[in-house]
Amino acid sequence: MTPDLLTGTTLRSRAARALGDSSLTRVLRKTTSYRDGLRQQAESVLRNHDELVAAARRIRADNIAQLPALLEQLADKWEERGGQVFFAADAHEANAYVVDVALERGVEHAVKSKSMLTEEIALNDALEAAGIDVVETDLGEWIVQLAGQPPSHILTPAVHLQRDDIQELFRNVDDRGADLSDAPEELAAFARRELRRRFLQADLGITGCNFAVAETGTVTLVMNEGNGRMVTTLPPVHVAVMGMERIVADWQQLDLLLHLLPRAATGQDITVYVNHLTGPRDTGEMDGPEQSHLVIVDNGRSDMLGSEFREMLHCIRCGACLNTCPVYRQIGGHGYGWSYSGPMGAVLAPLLHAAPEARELPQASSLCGACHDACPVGIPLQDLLLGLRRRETERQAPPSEAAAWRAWAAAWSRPATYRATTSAAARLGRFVPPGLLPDGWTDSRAVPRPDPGGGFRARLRREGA
Amino acid sequence: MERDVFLENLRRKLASAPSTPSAHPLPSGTGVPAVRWPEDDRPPVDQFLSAVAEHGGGARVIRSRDELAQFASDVIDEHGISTVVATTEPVIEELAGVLVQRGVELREFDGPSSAAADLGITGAMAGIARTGTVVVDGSAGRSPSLLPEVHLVLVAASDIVETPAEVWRTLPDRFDGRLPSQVVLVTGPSKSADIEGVLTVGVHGPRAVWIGVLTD
Repeated sequence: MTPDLLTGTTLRSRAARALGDSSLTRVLRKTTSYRDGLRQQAESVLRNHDELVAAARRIRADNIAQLPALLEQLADKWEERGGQVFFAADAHEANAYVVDVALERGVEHAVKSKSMLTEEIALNDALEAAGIDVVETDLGEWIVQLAGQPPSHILTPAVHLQRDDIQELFRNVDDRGADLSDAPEELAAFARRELRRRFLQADLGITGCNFAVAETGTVTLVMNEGNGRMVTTLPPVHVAVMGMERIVADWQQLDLLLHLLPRAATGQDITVYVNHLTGPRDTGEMDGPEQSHLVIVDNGRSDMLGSEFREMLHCIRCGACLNTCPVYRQIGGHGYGWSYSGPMGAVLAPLLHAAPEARELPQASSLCGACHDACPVGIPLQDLLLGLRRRETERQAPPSEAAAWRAWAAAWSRPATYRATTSAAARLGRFVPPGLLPDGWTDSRAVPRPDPGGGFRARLRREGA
Repeated sequence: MERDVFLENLRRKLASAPSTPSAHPLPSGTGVPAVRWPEDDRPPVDQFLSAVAEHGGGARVIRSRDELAQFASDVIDEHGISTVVATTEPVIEELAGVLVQRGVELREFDGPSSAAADLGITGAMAGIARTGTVVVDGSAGRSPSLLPEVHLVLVAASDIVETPAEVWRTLPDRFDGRLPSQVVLVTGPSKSADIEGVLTVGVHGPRAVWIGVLTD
């Protein structure tokens, strides 16, 4: 079972824990700023990057507005090519379908390439409960699986671990790892050997989906290691699990997004592999899966469609907003307590996660807008975060507090009442004990002492020009 | 869930969305703009050769059968190759002679188990000059370009286009709308930076990629 870091904890407690770990904060600051720099460098190479981002935002809005028709076309095309399609309303339906496919085929060993959606729906837990052995094969994802931790970054899941942590984990995998050094090349070579065995023995391969193309019924996976090719080449059954929003209409749109995604994600002009899959193995082909299943998952996304937060469905999961975020850079992914972290995770949490603890994640932002600047599809994340805070405040705030804010707003809308209240506050403020303010206001900041001169207006009258 | 029920729910939600004024309204416009790369006046093959090197691969222009044999021979020496798997394309058959002469075992690809060789040789339907990418049609075999530690791939100089857009935007037309079950773009050897961001090569896919660019 992947541990749940969210339930029963608070943002404050998780953040305090992260900030107390000096090696974690050091590695976070180093890698996030490095990756953020790579992104900016790679984007600046293209002469019309800004134009591409603006177009991508418009095109993603079109994709989402056309979602039912595009999904219908995708499903038809995938089936036309001999693949199976399942529409899953929620995590339970998606997991039950994959487990059924596995049981029907007598699957014992499943291999997976990295998929944040399968983290979201906890697919591994469902498969393991059905007695199926599941191995993550992305190097970073395998490392966190061995560590029994959730990923701390949507792209580089083991960003919070250091080489000696990984050495320790690998040494415990089996005897062959006993003499491993902590050199990254040696650790990676060990992973290659170990996981190669798993690829060859697996009878089910599970992937996510970076983009599906409705026009031809194609699932596109981008990767650098090649595990996503192994998973879709060797096992006789392939299941691709996609969030229903990860779709484009045609190859023109795919071309645009495939130029933006790797630059934003890792500062690459193209990933080592871009794998375009259209259905299962075709007649006359000698490898590739006999069965290809496409599981299209809603799991709360359709509620976003009908809300003011619809634009979050434009997200292409590049991770750029994590690397650039001043909060993520300090507390890392585990500070958020959920598989999606950073600004995108803070928006998605209250929309997709049922736990009440998820509703405070929009507070994990300075609203500086760096995420908006970094987003390759131009999502105004800070607007969405602010909207979610408003929604949560309206849900939570006692009527008396709302009334107090309204009274304040009314008073400060007129010069006379503004003057009266500020001068009263300046004169009387020094007598107010700090503890009188509501909980939370003075936890991390001191109450400023009132200006003994009676405030700016009084001073202006006295000393003015 | 039934497809129709799923999609009907989406239609209903879409119709019920509030029109909230946004501080960042959506941009207007139509179409998909072309990606503008920096100016580069060099011929595509020259761009291709330097991009391959930048991405950690090796590439050589091949002008004759002898040069092709020499190229294969050099790769065999460099990596101490003793078994080779090849997809059956005409240009690859030309290599059979040199391989046999070098005492290397050559297998014709007939399924994943045959692909467990030291070297995999495949063709490519296109190359991309800007990124040093080869485009491999998986219908000739997905594993020969994936399982071996070394991948040798042959691409015709006349099939090298300048930008990725010339592949992605034309892919459906190249196959009359019916794509092979797999098309994969390969740019250099397999890489990972999952351990402390340190670049490691050959994590799952080939550790080395050699590209022969065949001129007429």
